[in-house]
Amino acid sequence: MTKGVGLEAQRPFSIIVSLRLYLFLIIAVVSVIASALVLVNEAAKTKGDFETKAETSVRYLGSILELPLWDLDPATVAIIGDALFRDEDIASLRITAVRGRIFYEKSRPEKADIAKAVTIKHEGEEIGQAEVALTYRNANSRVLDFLAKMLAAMIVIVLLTIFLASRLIRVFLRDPLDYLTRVVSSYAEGRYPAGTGEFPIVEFKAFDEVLEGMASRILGQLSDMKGLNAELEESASEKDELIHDLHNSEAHYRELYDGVPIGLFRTTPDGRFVDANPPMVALLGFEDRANLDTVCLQDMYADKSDYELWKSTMDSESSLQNMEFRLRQRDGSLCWVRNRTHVVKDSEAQAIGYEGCLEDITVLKSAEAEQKKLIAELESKNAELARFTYSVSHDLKSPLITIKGFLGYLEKEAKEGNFDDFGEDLARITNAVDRMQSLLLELLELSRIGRIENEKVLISFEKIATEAASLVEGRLQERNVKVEIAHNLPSVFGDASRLREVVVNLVDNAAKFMGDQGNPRIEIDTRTDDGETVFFVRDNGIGIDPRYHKRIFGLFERLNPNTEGTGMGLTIVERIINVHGGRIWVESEGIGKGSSFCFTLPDVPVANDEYGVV
Amino acid sequence: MKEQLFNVLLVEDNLDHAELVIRSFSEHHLGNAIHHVQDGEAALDYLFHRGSFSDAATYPIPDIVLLDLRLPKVDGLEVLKQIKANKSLRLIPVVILTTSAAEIDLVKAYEDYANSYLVKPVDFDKFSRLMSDLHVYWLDWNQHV
Repeated sequence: MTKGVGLEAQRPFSIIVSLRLYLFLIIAVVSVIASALVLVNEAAKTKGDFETKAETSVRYLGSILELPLWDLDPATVAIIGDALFRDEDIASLRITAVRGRIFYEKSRPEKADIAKAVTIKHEGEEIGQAEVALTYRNANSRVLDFLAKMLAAMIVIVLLTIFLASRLIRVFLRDPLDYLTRVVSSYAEGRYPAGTGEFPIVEFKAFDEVLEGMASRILGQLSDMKGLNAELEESASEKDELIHDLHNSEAHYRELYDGVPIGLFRTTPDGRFVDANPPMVALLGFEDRANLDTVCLQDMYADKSDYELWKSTMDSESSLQNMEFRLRQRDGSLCWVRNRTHVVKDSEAQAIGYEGCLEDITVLKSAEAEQKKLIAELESKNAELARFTYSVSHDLKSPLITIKGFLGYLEKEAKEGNFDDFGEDLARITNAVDRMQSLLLELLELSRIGRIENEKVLISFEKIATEAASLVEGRLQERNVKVEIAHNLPSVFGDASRLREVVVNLVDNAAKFMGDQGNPRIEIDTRTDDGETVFFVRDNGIGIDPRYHKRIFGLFERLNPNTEGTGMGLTIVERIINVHGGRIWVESEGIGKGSSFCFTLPDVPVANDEYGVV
Repeated sequence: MKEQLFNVLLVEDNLDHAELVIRSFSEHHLGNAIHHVQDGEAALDYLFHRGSFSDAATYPIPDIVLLDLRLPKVDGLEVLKQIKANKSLRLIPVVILTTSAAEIDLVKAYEDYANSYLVKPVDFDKFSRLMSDLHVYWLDWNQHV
């Protein structure tokens, strides 16, 4: 408790009232004491006087009554008694003779206060007795008179004193106090009677000095305050201006923040959104900013490892730029974003959250992917073209060398007249020309696949296989090859004649490479690999070394240079399957194990009247 | 020039071309033994005496290899690589004899330490002269290990 001295709650206290009260009390008490003293003194004096009076009276009676009583003269005794009894202080008087004979007795109704008796003697012989009793009554009434007079005088004195005291108080206390009050009030009201100097009361000189000092200090402070006030007003107007500017820039900022097409966000360290602009809200797949209160940015990473990388980068670098990752939107769809974030710190360098932007680059990414795909396609086309040119230039040149070479020998042999080898050489030339022709024809054919297309139809693969088998009937019979076509083969969607060409090539190849198989057989069927339908043409022929499983599809590739054909059959087959959007490969455990040529075709589109089963 | 019997390994898938080489080669050098194989696998089997070529007397290590590039089964460049990877076989001069004048083949062949690269001329006279010169240079003039 810090209660300062003098600050305790006090009852209001009036100097004047107190002064009056105390003066009155003092006068009253003094008067009462004085009166009491007088009264006591008077009473004591009265008692002493009465004792003496009573003594004197009885002694007087003793001496004066000696003779009358000796003479037994009652008349004289009565005269003497009456003379004495006239004194009003005597309450009773009795004079008795010997043997109790009363000569005189008188009394008043007043109470006897002092009684005295004397034995009257005559020549030593007792002859009577006198008894006197005195009363204070008369003395008391005198005292009371005195008291009354004194009380009246005292009242007059008190009134006079009070009047005088009031006057004195007014002149010496109240007026100066009023004056002081006025002066202080004028100070209090802010009027500073500077240099009043002539303070009319010596005792108030100190006040005057204090007040003047105070006034000058207040004036000084006032002028300081005026300066401060002016400064304050100035800074206040500056502040208003600043606040106005601030509001403007806040509005600008908000406009920009909400208006940029990039998602801007501010989050707490644990990824809760503190702020987000409309594109950010839309980017995450929400309609309203308020929806974001329920989500956490880090939960929206499609790939947790992206978040971990992001977090570790932020932890070590405090910022990151152009990190690309995928977010899972509210509806579950994925979008690619490019992110830039920095840590937000408070004035004590404590991380209080993250701030950054997310740019939707899904379109960009898909365009990029599309571009990559196109480039890859173009590159593969280019490589294919290069391979094609290379193969063509090489393989078309070969027959030319043969033709020119053997023509040269023919000429030489003709000149020499040596015709031993003539027929053989001529046959070589003819074969080379034939080969050249078939190469050219098949190259033309190959170039047509994918370029010139027949209408695609929905057709039963069983029908295609059956037709193809009948087209190579000749070779099959020649080698006694059995073809088994599975029933209920699925329908396929594509160019019927090209697909037939595929089966023709595969069946023909199978028949061609039967080797010395005693029971040559070809199966045409399907199987399901991982939900995908795989068509296959399987034989029990010579098989293919796994090393050459890829190479055999290359242009002009022949594993055995002595077999008939240009080495273009499988190239054409692969090309047809690829153009249809499928894949082709060969399965064979090796030489003597037979081989299966497998291929896929894309799913049949939803059946439509447009595509009738042929 | 001394007459010496050389063993030549001709790796050529095209029988007609092989016939042309053999004929022009042996026109003036009857003593040479030309061993002809038709694909890369056979060439390697020959050189490493594998399979049907295990008899080293019938199939002697050649003094020179004439190698076509486009071959069935194992490619000519692969054959070249395997020859040059082998400590004793790499001493044999390998002359590439091909229809391809493609730069990529040329570079790849030399990268794999081909000793010479020859393109088969279409013209008969040139073909004959190349074969003659080839013989003179690689078998007569050139020193063998």
